[in-house]
Amino acid sequence: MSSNGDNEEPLYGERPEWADVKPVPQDDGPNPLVPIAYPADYADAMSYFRAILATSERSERVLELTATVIGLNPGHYTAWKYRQDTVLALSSNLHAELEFVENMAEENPKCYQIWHYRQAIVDRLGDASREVSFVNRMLAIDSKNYHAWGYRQWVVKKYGLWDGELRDVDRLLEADVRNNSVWNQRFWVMENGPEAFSAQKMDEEIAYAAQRIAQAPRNESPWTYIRGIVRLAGKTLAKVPAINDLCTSFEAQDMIVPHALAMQLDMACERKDVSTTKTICDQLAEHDPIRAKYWAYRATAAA
Amino acid sequence: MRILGETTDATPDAVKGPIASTVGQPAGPLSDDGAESWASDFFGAADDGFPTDSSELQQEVEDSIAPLLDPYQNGSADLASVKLDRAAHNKFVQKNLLSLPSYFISLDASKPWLVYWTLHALDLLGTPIPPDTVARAIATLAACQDPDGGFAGGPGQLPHLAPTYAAVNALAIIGTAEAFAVVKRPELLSFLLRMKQPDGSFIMHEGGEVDVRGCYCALGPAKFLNILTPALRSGCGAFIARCQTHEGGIAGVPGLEAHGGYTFCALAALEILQETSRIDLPLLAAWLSRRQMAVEGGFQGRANKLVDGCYAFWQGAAATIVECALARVRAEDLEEESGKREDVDPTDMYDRVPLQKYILLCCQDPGGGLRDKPEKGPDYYHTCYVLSGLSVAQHSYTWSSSEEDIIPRSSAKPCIVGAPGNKLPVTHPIYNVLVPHVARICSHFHLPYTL
Ligand SMILES: [Zn+2]
Repeated sequence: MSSNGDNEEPLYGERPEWADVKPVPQDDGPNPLVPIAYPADYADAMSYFRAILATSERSERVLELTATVIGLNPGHYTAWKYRQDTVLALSSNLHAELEFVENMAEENPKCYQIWHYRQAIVDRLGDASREVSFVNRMLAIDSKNYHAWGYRQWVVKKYGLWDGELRDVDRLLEADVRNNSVWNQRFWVMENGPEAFSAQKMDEEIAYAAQRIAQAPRNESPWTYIRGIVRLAGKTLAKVPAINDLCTSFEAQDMIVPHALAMQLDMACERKDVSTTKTICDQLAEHDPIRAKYWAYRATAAA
Repeated sequence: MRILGETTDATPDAVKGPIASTVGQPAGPLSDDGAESWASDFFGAADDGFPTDSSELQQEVEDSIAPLLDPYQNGSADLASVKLDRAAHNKFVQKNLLSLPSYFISLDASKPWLVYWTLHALDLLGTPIPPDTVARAIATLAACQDPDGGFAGGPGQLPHLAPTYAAVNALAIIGTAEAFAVVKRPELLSFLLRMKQPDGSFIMHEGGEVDVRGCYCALGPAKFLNILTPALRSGCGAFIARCQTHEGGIAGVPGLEAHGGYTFCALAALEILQETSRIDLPLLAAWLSRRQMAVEGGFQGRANKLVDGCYAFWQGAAATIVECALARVRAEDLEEESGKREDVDPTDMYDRVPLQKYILLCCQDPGGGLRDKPEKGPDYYHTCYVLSGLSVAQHSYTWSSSEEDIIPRSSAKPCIVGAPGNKLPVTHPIYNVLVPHVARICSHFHLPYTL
């Protein structure tokens, strides 16, 4: 959980530099439900943290105290907020804070507060030069980390760091073509990046996705991506011949790919071709039985 | 994965059950499942001969649950005898209520959640909540309330939207005048308005992050307490609509990946606002239907991620709301044609049976409590949400224009997988407390309060 968990440091109650602070113990009331049997180090640090909250002290020692609390309980959002306000009030060394966050993030990659805190520090620092590589280190641990992707989008958009985005997307799809977070990022770049999205761009992206589909046709992500890209271009599926070609290529190989069928279903709906719609829904109900109820709904909705 | 409940994923794995354990002893002939084609070659195990990290992890899960599910697919075990082990789950929930072990400090900023998860789980299990537990719950929630409005994760902490939602839901479950008297209504409204952002979103706490959980956690309590003012509503639906992605599901903030937990929060909030027409419902329905796993039967949270029992609620309840919203649209269309207003029954869009099988056979820990998947230990969060998902999967709902709410469909027979005794009471798919509790708290606070 944290280095303080091993308790090499003396308790705050035993430190002379904290002797001027009167600790405030936890008050759960006389009849609590779900009270926690706090370990001594956490109870000690929290008693001093409550005392500091009451006096609104902003000092170096508060940084150490909040680090202890956060180290023992990374979800303690009040301690994070207090630390943030203190750091900004003291104009502390913000680069050191980035290091503090990185150490925390490696052990608690899914903690909301860590990412929000880093955003606040970088925002104040006005220097995001190390951020994309930080995110890449975190994605190397978990390439689908939702918070890491959210933070990445904030940094890239705010500081205009678009240059490396598609390169990183390609690298990550090369590593795992099924990583849906990466496909989402690719779409996000198309939608928000500096380059205007054009009909030509749409064709290129369909070709890109089709290549990835050829590797693993039953991978949902590139199919969904194609739908999104076509919509982004303001077109409809049925009017893009490459998509029809892609879907029928599996028929030619005698392969049943439900994603291709589902795409053909959407195209039939666009054309208001009710009989084809029903035929495809029947096929899908047979070959994708877990979704039989959904395909039956689609058949009735088309009527 | 913990969606609503703040903090990290460091959920204590107090009691790790053995990986392969069966609930309900296999015996007897196959009932009516013989015709079901189980092993799907298509959306499920298939890696197209091109393995990657995602498909390998998926294969591991499929392999680990096969011993639990297969006997009921090939007919060597009788599904009708499979039981929800209420006694064991009850014991798991009640065991530590008066003193949580020290590793629970990771939930020290989630006290109202602990109260809500346990009370709602007991409610679903049909366990009367002991008077002493009720009194303690009220005292604990009251201690978390900020003098300036809202509830914090613990006494003396900053008020936060997520524990505010959990606290108000817990008080709705308790439902006594004493419980309702805890809430400082004007202060709560002023707290919610302080969290409101110009773009319609909410920050979770002062200086905190924005995401669509905030909309749900603000609007749910506001609806219960009858403080859903125009100022609180304004812009919220537009913000949520910006979070729908090209996939059809909804993300935490605009631009991110569609995700089950955020999708539920966003959709439930839109339903509270009666603004579901702001999003593309058919696109969302398609995305939701793709989240049910072909082999496991349970739901995943995002495309190409693993099944997790808690999504039985997040995705299952979202699917229910979409079904009802689409039925409402159909009713409106029919009214335009015929001039006659009649409610339309919704159509099922996911398969309730395999979902319930996954819950009963894979999510029950033999030592009590419910879990994400067999290799994970049980915890309060999953116990609450897996049971909630089971309730939603058992019952049918419909939109009622006279009640202006989604209500249980009295004409429909419940769909109970396994023993008939597995039937749970009906949870509300928007608020996730039992249906009668919604009417009770709303009628208590029926007199409006405005600042
Ligand atoms: Zn989960």
